[in-house]
Amino acid sequence: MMRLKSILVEFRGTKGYLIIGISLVLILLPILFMTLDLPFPANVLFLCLLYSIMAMAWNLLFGYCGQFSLGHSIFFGLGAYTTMIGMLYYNLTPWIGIFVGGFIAALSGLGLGVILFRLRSHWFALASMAIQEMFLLLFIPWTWVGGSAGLQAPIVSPDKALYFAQYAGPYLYIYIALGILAIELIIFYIIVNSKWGYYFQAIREDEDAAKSLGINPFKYKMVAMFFSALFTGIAGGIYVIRFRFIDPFVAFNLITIAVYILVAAIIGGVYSFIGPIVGSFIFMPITEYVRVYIVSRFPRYYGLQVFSIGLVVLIISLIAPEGVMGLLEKRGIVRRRLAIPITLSNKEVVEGG
Amino acid sequence: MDEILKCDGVTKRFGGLVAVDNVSISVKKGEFVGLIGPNGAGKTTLFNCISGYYKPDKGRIYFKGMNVTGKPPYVLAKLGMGRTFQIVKPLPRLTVLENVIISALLKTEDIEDAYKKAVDMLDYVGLRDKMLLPARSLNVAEKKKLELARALALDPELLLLDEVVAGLNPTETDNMLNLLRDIHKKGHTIIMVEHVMRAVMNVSERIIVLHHGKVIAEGTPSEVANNPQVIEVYLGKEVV
Amino acid sequence: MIDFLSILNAIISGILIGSVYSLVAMGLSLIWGIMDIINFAQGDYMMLGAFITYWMLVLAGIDPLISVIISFAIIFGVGILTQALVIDRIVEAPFVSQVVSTFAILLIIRYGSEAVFGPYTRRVETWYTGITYNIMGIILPLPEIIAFIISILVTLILYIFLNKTYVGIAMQAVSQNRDAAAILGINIKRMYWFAFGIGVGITAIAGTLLSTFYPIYPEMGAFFTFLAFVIVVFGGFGSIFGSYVAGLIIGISETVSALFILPTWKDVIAFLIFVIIILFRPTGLFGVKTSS
Repeated sequence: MMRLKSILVEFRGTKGYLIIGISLVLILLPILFMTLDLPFPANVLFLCLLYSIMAMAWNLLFGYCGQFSLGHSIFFGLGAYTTMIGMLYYNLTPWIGIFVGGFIAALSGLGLGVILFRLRSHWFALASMAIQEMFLLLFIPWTWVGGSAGLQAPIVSPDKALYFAQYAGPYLYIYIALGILAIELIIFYIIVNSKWGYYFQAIREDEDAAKSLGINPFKYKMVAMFFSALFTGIAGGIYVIRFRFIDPFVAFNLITIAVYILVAAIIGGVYSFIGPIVGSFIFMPITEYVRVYIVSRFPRYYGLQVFSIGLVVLIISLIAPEGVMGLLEKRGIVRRRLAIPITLSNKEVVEGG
Repeated sequence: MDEILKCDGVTKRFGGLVAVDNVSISVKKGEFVGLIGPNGAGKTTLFNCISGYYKPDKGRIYFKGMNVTGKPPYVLAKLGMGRTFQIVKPLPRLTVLENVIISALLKTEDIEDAYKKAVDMLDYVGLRDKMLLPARSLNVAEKKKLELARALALDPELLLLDEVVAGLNPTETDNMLNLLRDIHKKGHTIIMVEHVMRAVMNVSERIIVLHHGKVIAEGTPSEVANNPQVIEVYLGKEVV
Repeated sequence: MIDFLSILNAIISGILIGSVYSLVAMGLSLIWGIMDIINFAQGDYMMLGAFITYWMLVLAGIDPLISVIISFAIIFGVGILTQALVIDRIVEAPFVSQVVSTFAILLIIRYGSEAVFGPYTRRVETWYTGITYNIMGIILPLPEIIAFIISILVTLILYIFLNKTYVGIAMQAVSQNRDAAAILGINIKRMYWFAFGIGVGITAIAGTLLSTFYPIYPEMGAFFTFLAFVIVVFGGFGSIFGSYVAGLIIGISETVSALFILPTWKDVIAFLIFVIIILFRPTGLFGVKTSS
């Protein structure tokens, strides 16, 4: 309780009001959209939240631990398929299914880590990408999971709708994503402000130096990977809940999952806790609006939505390499929270302690 | 256990090159030992073997009586071995304070305690006023002090210092040496690899000389300085 | 069904196709070796080369054999442009910035082309398309033979360039020891421009050649980039020409294994081999900055 109180103390003032304000907005927006019958913005909001979950998860491994994964769609895909298969073949409610999917993804993450964590950045990235492509190729001919056509969850009767998390319209799904994001934020906040979080950063900064300080890099990379894969897998499950469909090309897509989430994290700023969320909320609306307003009207221009993101990323990488949050930090608008006891503020450290 | 570190016939090869050749040394608890030798003598390689970064091809290493040959650095840190690096390795983006907190977290789970210890260490080495700066913004002397503070925050029994005064001007060097003397007085065992003769000769109780990976002399600083083999090996090199 | 002749044809076919893959791989290897940059967009420059050839043929009636040079020239130019605008800034940057920037370029080229050209598959039809010689049961399709010949020629020219010209030798120097090269007065920046330009230019040639016997579409880069990675990793980094030979081997293994295994498994095996090589390969020359 002492700890909880001291954590809450951290949020007094502007920061606390900002969080409350944004949370209120996010809670009220779906209701607003539903009342005004605006399914498209609602869907964009849903995707922003979904990618926020995944980008934050990815960034735990990269921004904090220094491991650059190009294969995170593996976890998304496994989580999605697990949830779908649970629903279709085992009558398992997706409310549980997404967590089962998350755990399966987490376990696969550990497996991946065992094999790949000995590799340094280039190779880890390439190998994770290759393994992801393998998953894609293995799922395509696999009939039990629907092969290349994928799996579709049928519409169920209203009395089973709650059990199968089936709602009309995109609106209520937003709350599911919001809920998971909130859980993720809390868990990750505790992790990154603990010994684990500091050890992650030490590994990122200099693995050999970290070793001299008693840190076992492999062990902590595995911890980071566990949580990273866990939430990415859960996100896959949420995708299935919302869209009721999954196929290998969606699940194990290099560009629309793996690259998109790293792009989101980078646009927002990888060295910032909420950077990935900021990034998702910037890039998702752009790509979705281009896709829906231009590409679907003029299918001839298919690809434009990805092109525009490429452009955004390029610009960011050239003028703001540490993302939007990095830019804000440089301008002194925000300040990175130091690895100091949660009870103290930066100010107190300087003055006394 | 009087003997804190023992190397028994340690050999390390890189391809065809024998960097450390059948080296056997013994260090007693509380000693201040200097490890010298010309460039390429194998000093840092020996350090890397002792501190777990390399696995010796032959021989054994005993720390506090335990066989630690081939054990990784993080295990040795937990057992009480701290080291600094020849080319300093700060955790660059993190602040000086955070660098030492992370180190202090080895011995305590409580961040509050780690923080207090870190501040104490930084006070001790004289980096208190630079606490909140990113480690990469420090100059060389300050970075070396940071390495020292980090190593000390581990509560080590044995300190391995790799060229800790290299690159420092005379004032900074004296500063550092006084620090080391004090650390030694507090009961830590120190093994110091060094090139700067003035430094290592002035502060060590005992000197071990390596050449081509072999131990060629051992003794007090004056004994070693007058050893004809050592003089020959250093002939033509500056002995400050 | 699977007899000696089939295998022989598969091997020949593999060599012919492999020679085109090799060009893409050599380009990747060149860039990787000299600049230590992994060009994830390598295959997309190839796609551009293919499309340039297509438009040259369709709009101006220029035969691919001639537009080979044009597509090289154009993509060489594009390469230098990319280099100057983007890559220059990230050569010294941490790996992450490199990946992000090259991926951004990938997205821009691949999907920009798709938006401009349309997501359609196209074919290049020339006088030699579809002509196949049959000598005693050995099948020799003319476009592939021409592609093979040109590929060998390009490789020879590259070899002469790298070993007999000042610029070429300078580039090799940079790949071996950049600082030493700089001290010797070599303009590193200029070398980078050349390296990138040639690296993607060669890939564009591969694109041109490929278009004569393979359908082209904007997203084709993905497959060939990955293939190039496999080849470069497999062929070892020591020599750019090692990549050439490796490319032929990969081509052969692709066609021969198609006789025995289902296509999808073939690709899975390729990825598996790739991962295994990465896990167990000895440290090579490129991309290796060992810690301590």
